[in-house]
This record gives sequence, C-alpha cells and structure tokens, in this order.
Amino acid sequence: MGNEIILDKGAFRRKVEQLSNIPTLPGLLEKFTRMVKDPDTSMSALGKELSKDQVLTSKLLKLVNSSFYGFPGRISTVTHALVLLGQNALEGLIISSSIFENLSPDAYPLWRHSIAVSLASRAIASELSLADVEEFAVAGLLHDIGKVILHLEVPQEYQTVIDHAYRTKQHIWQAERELLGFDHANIALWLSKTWTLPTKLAIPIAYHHMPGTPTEERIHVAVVAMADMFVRGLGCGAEDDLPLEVPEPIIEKQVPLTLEQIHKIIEKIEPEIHNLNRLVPEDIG
Amino acid sequence: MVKAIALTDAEVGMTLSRGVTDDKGMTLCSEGTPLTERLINLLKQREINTIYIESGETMTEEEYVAAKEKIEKRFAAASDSNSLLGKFKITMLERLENMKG
Repeated sequence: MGNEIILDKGAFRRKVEQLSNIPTLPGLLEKFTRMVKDPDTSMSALGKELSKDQVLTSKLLKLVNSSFYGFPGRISTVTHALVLLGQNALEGLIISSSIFENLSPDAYPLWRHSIAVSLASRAIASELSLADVEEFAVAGLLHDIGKVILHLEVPQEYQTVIDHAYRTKQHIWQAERELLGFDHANIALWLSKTWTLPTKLAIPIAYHHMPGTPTEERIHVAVVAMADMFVRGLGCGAEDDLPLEVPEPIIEKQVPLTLEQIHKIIEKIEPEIHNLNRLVPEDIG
Repeated sequence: MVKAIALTDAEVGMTLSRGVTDDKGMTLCSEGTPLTERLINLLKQREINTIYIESGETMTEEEYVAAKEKIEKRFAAASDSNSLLGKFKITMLERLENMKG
C-alpha cells in the first residue's frame, strides 16, 4: 500500500497559527509576552496585571499548587509564582494550562506522558544541580505540544497517523513525516515563532528527537530527550511503546549520569509516574 | 512485595516498607512504621505523594518472567553496560529483583 500525504501542510500551518480550538490562548499569551518584554514592567506590576485575569490566575495557581506537577508548593499569588518559577517557566505554564484543558479523553495518555516527562526533566536537572530547574520541567511538560495540537485540530487524520505507526511499528514522529509530510516538532517550531517562545523552551520542544541539531540550549535539549527516554523506559510512552534506541552521543556528553544517579532519578520518578495512571486533567487543573 | 502507592490510597494499618523523606532529604518516618491516621495527615501536610508499603502480595514466577521479558524487549539496544541505555537497563533489572524480594 502506498502512503499518500493526508493533510495539506500549508493549510494546516495556517490553522495552527490561528489555533481556533484554543480560544483563550492567544489573548493571554500576547498580554503576558508584551508585559514581560516591557522593561518598565516590574515583577510585581506584571503579577498584579496578570492577577486581574481571574481565569488565568485561578488556572495557574491550581496548576502550580498541584502536588502532581511537583512545582514548589504553597504558591498563593501570581507574583509569587513569577518569582519562584521565573518568567520563562510561567509563560510555558500559561500555554500548557490552555492547551491541555481542551484535550479529549483519547489524548489523556499523551497528557500523562507530558507530565511524566516534566517530572523526569526536573529530576534530572536537579540531580545535575542545573540552574532554573523549573524551566526544564516546563520544557518537558510542553515537549509534545505538537502532538497535542494535532489531537486538537485534526483528530481524525491524527488517529490515522497513530494507527499507521502501530501497524508499521514506527515511532509516531516517523509516521507523521510519512503521512503528513512534517512531524510534531515542526509544529512546535511554527508555534514558537507565533508565540515568540523563549529559546530555552522552544528549542528542546522542537529538537527533542534530534538532539544533535541545535547549537544553542543543548543542555535543555539533552535533558528533555533523556527524560523522554526514561519515561518511555518506564512504560509511560503514550502512543509510543517501541524499544528504546541508543541515544545520540550528544545526550550522554551533555548529561553524563552515573549508575547511582540514574538509580536515584528512577527511584524518585517511577512511583510518581505510576500514580499518574488513573489521573485525568480535571483532577489537577 | 514492596508496592508504591499514592498517599491518597494509604490506609490505617498498612506498614511502610521504606522510610519517607521530604524534599530536603529530612527523614519523616522510618521503614517498618505502621500508618496511623495522624501519620497519614502529617505526610499529606508535608506534600508527600507516594509511599512504599509491604503489600502482602507476592510476585509469581510468571509475573516476574513477564516483567523481565518486557524490560529485555524495551532495552534490546542496550548492548554496552557502561552506556546510558545500559545503565538504565541495569537499574530497571535491579528494581525488578528488589520487588520480587
């Protein structure tokens, strides 16, 4: 059977850039990025302005205080969240809170996988004593955002891709390239331009399957790629349950974990991931 | 068999099979401690998500073999035990042995 491209790439890209199925996102994000980039806006002024948006505030506080995401607990104001997590991480959280709430139940495994990769990214970054650990956690949370967009915007076509991947024993990203002409990382690149995402989030999201490609933010890419591998190794790969590949040498070079460190990380994340199995997005915001 | 459970599933009378430490590494209670309502509430307050208990179940030989096969299949590419993938596989196999007891 020959495989024909099942989606018009140009039309889909335009659709992604408009994101008609995620109505709350563009306005909120635009407001946030405009304020963040304004040098006259102080952290507390930014927090105050964001707090005026009650939907955003309640969503963000519910999310950062949910123990399952593992962010530092007891955060009571948006300003406090900004100080603790940093602007980059908070920008990523605004995106995740809008995107994930729109998922249909058949995409819940992908949502669980995303949280698991977030937990693993944080655990790896902490173990390596890297700075701004929460940025790694949020990059992990958003690493498969392109798949989420495919679920939301073209569910039928994406189901065809998933079925094809299962049938041909390929990774999802390989089936995406074959049937769509692009993969979920391409979508992340388009979105990162539309949303002007910080590079520490945009690059790991776009290159976690090709960690040797980018020349900047390599440690972020390597940590997220390794976190993805750990989570798949623990059996939480969402649609992707193929044997693990030998990681690209750049990952091992950037993140040279010892056996003891791997043991410690797995010991920490395995029970957390196990407990995600029966959760649904409504449980944690 | 040692089993990880969510704290929300913890019940009075269960016994901790591993000690519980908080984020900063401080020990909150040690291995062998029986769970009381007060202790469960204390762990909730300290934002502990997961605890290990002795489930009383034993892993059958079939379950062990199936779990081991799954790991071997998932880590088929891990030929070098000093590589990242090799070390990850060793960790997974060790954990399986510990679970079996």
